[in-house]
Amino acid sequence: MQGALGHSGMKLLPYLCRYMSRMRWMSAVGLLGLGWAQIGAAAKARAAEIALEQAQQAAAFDWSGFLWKLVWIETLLIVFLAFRLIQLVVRYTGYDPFARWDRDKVNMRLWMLVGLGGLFFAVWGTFKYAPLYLPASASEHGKLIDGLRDGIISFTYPAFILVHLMLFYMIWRYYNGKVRQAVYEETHHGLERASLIAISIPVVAIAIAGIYIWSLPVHGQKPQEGQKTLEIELVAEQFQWRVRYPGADYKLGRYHYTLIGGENVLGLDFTDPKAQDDILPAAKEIHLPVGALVTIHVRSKDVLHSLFLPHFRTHIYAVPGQKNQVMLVPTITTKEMRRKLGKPDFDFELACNQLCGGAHYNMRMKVVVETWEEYQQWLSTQKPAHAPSEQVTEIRKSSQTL
Amino acid sequence: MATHEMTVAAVAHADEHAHDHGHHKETFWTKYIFSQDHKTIAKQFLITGFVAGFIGILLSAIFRLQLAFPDKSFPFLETILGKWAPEGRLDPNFYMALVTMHGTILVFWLLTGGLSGTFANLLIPLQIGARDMASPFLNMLSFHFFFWGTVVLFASFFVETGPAAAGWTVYPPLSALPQAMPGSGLGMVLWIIALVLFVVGVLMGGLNYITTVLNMRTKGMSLMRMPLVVWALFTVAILGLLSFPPAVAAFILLLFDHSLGTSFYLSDIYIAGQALPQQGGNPLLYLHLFWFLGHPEVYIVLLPALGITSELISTHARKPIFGYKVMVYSILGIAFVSFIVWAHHMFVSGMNPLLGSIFTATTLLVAIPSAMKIFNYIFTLWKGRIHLTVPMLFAIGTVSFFISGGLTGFFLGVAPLDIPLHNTYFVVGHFHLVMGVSAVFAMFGGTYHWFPRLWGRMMNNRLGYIHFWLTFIGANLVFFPMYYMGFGGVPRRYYAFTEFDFTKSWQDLNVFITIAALVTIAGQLLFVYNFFHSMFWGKPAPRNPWKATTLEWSSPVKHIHGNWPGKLPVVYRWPYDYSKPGAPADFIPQYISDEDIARGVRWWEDDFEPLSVIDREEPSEGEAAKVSPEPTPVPALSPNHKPDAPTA
Repeated sequence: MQGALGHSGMKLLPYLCRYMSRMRWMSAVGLLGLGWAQIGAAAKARAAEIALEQAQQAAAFDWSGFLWKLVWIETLLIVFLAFRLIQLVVRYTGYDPFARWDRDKVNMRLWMLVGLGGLFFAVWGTFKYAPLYLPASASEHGKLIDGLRDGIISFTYPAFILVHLMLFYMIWRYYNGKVRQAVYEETHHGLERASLIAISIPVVAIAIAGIYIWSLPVHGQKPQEGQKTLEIELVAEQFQWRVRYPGADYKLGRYHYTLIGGENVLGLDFTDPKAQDDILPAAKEIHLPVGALVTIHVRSKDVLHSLFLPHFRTHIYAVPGQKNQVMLVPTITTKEMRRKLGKPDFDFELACNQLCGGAHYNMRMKVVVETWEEYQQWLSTQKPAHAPSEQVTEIRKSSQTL
Repeated sequence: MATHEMTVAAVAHADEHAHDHGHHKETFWTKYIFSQDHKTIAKQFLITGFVAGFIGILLSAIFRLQLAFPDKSFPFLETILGKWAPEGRLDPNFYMALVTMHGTILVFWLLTGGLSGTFANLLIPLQIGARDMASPFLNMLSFHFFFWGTVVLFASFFVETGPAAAGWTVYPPLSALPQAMPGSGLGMVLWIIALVLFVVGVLMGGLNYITTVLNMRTKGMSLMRMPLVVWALFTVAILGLLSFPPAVAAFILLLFDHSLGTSFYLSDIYIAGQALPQQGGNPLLYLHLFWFLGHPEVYIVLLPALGITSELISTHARKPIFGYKVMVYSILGIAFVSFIVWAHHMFVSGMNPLLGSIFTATTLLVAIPSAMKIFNYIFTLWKGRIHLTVPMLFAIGTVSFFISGGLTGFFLGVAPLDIPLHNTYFVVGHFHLVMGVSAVFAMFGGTYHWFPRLWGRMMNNRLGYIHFWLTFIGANLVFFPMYYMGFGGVPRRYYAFTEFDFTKSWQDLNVFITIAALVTIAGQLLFVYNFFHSMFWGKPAPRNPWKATTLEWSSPVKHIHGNWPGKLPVVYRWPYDYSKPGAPADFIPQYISDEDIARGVRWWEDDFEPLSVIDREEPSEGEAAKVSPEPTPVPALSPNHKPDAPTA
């Protein structure tokens, strides 16, 4: 018994008994509080129940909910009373089971446990969640971005672990107790210089790589020999995307925001012949031909939105009053991607990634990448946007276009 | 005329004030509300900041619930939120309002007003040996503007259309158009008013801090003998003075666009079935103005935190801060560079791509002084004697979070890599770790460390340890997994992740994060209890509980006007004389001269009275010559005695 309970437990018991008898009123208050809370909760629940009964005529008393409430209240009370009890025992008996703990040693051990454990779990999580990361880029420039990302990870992850290990080593090696005297050292020029160099090299390397790659996706791409090109427009509004394809002339027509209204959802200026054959697909889908250089013109009708194509590493704000554009070359069709990932229902997606209002989270559009032939076939099934004749005359009167 | 007499009396009183501090009659109002004493103002900032911060953190509990259980109904939400949670389901617009207010409160109220306001007010006069701020009246006004800003901000919760909801950055046109979302109605106007009041408060404070540091340092306190925390607070005041006014301009222009029909940020807008007449403006103008504040703001939050960490690490490791000069230059370097990096928040906004290259280069530059600071913290611990006290744990926590969060800045600061990561949870994880949690930890550490200086009582150690470990583990569990979500491309500010295939699969992790967050938030109650309980019933603090060298521990425990009853202390050494070879104790306070050491002043003893040294008459030259140059060696181990250790 002695062994099981432990020395300190046996020592504590008489104190506890004496304390309990001396502090009768405290226990009484505690019990009273307990009872009061129970009665209060019961009364409140009962009142709610009566109200409910009157409203619905036939509602059974929610016993399980009532009991759960009681359990919660009692748990909280017991935790509080236990806490208070320990505090009072310590105060009145002077017996403190934690007094013998060495503050520095205990915390040093906790650092080792939590720190090293934390590093382990950080790495473990990185691998555990790898299947959920975005798959390898489906666009040409995205491959460069992925390469840059892997390069930076291969520097930062070891640095993250090493610097933390240094920190933990210092705690383990120099905590008060193991060490009784600190060494007076104002600085060490060699060390400072070494750390300056150690940090400068990756900074310069990353800066050069980053600036070089930055020039590619947005404005550096030129169509290669024989590469197909395509210009489309994506227009954001609260809370959906609309896509516009050029017609047979491969050119997008002009628009102006004051022309928006009725069926002319994008404010196309139908006095411009280039606009007359533009195509506004009805389905919420974007079709892109694989291997073609796609230029996406992005604009917004109302507030800031952002065109976010995570699988293509493409991202640009849609700014009202400003014409933004991005370029990308899709490298893999949806079908191939499904086969590659082994997910038959995989789809590329377009999301809004700049807070635009309540339904910001729900501005999805499916992106279908297919072969040039499939794309042409799909496009031919889409009808051109046409303006009702009376609207055309109206627009001609106020022919204000960009 | 009673009023006349009173005025005369007040003037006379103010006259004698310079000679006689302390024992004049103070009413509740002059002592606690309209106090011009920097120590009281520090308490006011601390409590207001913590209360606001706690509310801000509670808001995150509500939206974390929504993110983890988007299809569950919580009836208690309807009880507390009313129409914003019909049938226990959070309204998407109110979700945005919660996110917005969470960000605003924590960035501005807790980590700018609360952190800088508290520690600049408390530490600048006390550590540089001044009787008060340069202008105590301006200082009082600074808090009152801050306070009324707080009131206006919280009042916006109770207007019919709800508080501002366009994100803490309140990008127009969303924030400028009441028809775009409910939160852009009166709530937005109140948000702007609150922010303007707040900035006025910050500027008044900042002016004061700069003037005080430059003009009111005591004898011997040269700039390069100032503690690093004063350096940080001083630099931050300059940063604030230069960067907040453009933000106020941005907010005022936003208010014009919002209420007066101007078009600074608006152009070509068709909303709610109507084409607006505004033309020629551009939201990117707002983005530039905002981030011209916004990025220095990050360092306005971070530098005081790192300054506090420097003090804590050096004091509790009983070792001089490693590379003091490098640390000072790092602070100045970070402050300078912070002004030329703002556009890295806008890499994908459609600004001129050339700017992307330039801002990539300048952004990465910040890594150098930041990393130097980290290395110097670690080298300070090296060969130290690390007392793992509660403040020290929080300081080490700050360093750890700064590493975990800072390294991911390499990803986000590079323009091309920002493309897939911009506005994803990677960003959320990054800034919460690097400037959110790390600054909060420094603030906690500073509070545990300087609590005895503020209230003359110690905080409870054991509760402090439990609080630290709970918060440290909890915060890591909450924010580190967000990096994983970022690699999955999960966008931030989403009401639910149910609509996209690439976000759906993260639901389990979201539940995990929410549970960790709720437990961590509940754990903060330990701190709240400890804070208020210790304020009244804590163990009375000794004069210098941590055996620190800086001047604030030389003034009497009980607060008095003017800080030192007699003379101002004179500074003879830098603030980091810990474990100096040949010295009789492992710390030498700044006001102890070599003559004092030679004379055998025993400053490390518990009953030592610093005023006996500070108020002493200057030794005449003949007397000084008599003193032997060799310090008397005192072998007693009393300063190295561990008060908490068992006596074997």
